[in-house]
Amino acid sequence: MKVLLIDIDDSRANKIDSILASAGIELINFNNQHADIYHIVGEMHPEIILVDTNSSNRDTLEHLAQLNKEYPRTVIKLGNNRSESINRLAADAGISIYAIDNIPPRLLQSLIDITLSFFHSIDRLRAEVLALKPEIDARQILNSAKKFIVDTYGLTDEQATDLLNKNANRQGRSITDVARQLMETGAFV
Amino acid sequence: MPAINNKNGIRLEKTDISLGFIPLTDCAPLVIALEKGYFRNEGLNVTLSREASWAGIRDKVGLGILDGAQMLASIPVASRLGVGGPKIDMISAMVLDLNGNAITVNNDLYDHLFSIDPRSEFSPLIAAQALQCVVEENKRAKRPKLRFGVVYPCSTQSYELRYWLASAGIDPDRDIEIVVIPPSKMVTAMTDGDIHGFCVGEPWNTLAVQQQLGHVVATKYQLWNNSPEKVFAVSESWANENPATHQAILRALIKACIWLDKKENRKTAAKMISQAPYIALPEETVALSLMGLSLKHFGQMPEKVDDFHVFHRYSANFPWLNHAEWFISQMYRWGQLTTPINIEETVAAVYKPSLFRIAAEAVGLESPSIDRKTEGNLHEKNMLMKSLQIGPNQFLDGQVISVGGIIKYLEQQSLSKADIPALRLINVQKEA
Repeated sequence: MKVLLIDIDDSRANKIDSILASAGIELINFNNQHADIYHIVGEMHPEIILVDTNSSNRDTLEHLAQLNKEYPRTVIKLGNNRSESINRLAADAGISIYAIDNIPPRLLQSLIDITLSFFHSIDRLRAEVLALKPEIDARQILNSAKKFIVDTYGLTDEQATDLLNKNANRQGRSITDVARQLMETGAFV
Repeated sequence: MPAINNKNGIRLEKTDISLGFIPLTDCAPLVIALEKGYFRNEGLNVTLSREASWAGIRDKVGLGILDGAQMLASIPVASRLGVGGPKIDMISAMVLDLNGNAITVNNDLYDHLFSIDPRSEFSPLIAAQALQCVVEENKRAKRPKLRFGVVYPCSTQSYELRYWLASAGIDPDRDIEIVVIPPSKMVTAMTDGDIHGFCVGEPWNTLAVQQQLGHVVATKYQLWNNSPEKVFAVSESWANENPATHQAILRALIKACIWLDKKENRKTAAKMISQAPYIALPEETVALSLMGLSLKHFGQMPEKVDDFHVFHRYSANFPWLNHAEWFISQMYRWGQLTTPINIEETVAAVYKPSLFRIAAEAVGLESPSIDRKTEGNLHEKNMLMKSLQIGPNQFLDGQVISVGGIIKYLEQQSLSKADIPALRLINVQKEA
């Protein structure tokens, strides 16, 4: 299987080159503003094309797809389903995908997943987890505080929540604050 | 988070908005709405994103990466039908401009046309007939086909070029070769000898003439007076989720178009849109056509064509359903669309006059009360008075399309690949 890269800079191309090769995919890289796209696609007959989302060669690829049903066409859905990963491939990695009709959506999904994993996805996941950390911490403190109250005073979970809320209201503090203090000092105040 | 528009007290679903444009003279409504603060006044924080391809704009709007964009008037229709690209449900509630394109041929080809008939200099019909002679000569001499560039397969420019060629019996799919080249590379492709001619929007024709590479043989205005060029389009789901924001954008764009249509503002407009973040070309190149000066031949005085770019007058911003029908007729004519569809239902799903009327009323404008109008019946010379509501609408070949008569019109088109009987089965003719 041949995958043609168009206007994908080397730093991005190199990331996916080896992994695709190990899957038995031949990668052909065209990163030349003056390349004749009609000629290249006509000669290479790629099954899949990965092109820079902002490449000015994209409209020519659209024309090729219109001229010949054998040429790859834009993929913005996988099968009949909207695909979040195609969106992320364009938005995060700046790559748009073209494929011939016979390529099953499953294969495209795998290709996109692997490509994405070599771009920002790990960094992004890390950033997203980090961004959520204060909220997760607060949740855990609240849960431990409730458990502490339930175990110590024999109250129900609801009553424990009420108790924390009441103390928070009275002191004009957040419930998380009160829970944290309870866990650190063993007292509400 | 829902925000309040303080000035008008209208709740907008979304205030941070990203809109796409292609560096062409008619990206002006978006740029002016931003630069003159019309977006801001509506409580919108708009970022304009310069895009390199129509496919990119189309997909980014479809995927929700852009909220909306400037688009060729044919793209929302083609996308709805999945013609020449993926099927994306887009809608357009507003036309951004009329006219503005031209067909340019390189110096060698122009000299050839001129030697066959010197009236090619000013008559698009005669230039096309002279080109037909060249095509025949080339066939006899077994020379390769002439190559013409357009910017997108289902583009207004592609249909205009094809219309011009077919007026002289040239089959665009057999007698010449059409290639797709982005606007910004069109002039270079002519310099390099890759193409003999092109149909593209301004300022690229003016630039080719100024650089003494070629001559303009037809303008979009001459092919079909005051025909739609770019629209503002969004995806249907975006429009459903953000109705108030959509209206706010439309109001800002209408105000920008009103501003742009005033003669005295065109010079300022040229200065703004020629800047680096937008078109990034010399102001003199961009200014010419905006000032109503059509430069066809280097060294000659540019022709005065007041309507070279129309942004507002003649009810320009109204999304006429019959204009969308014309694009569908051309898709059938050139075999890009073969499945018979109900044309009336399709255009009503894509072009949204009702949404335009709401926005127009909000800025104190009257809108046409009908959704369709006859085309080809108002000739420039017969216009009794300068009306701002309605402009000339003549076709190069003198054809007339009455309301509801799109299939009858299509039937009369030469070189057509349309299956008229199949279309008649699905589309009941209501024409008198």
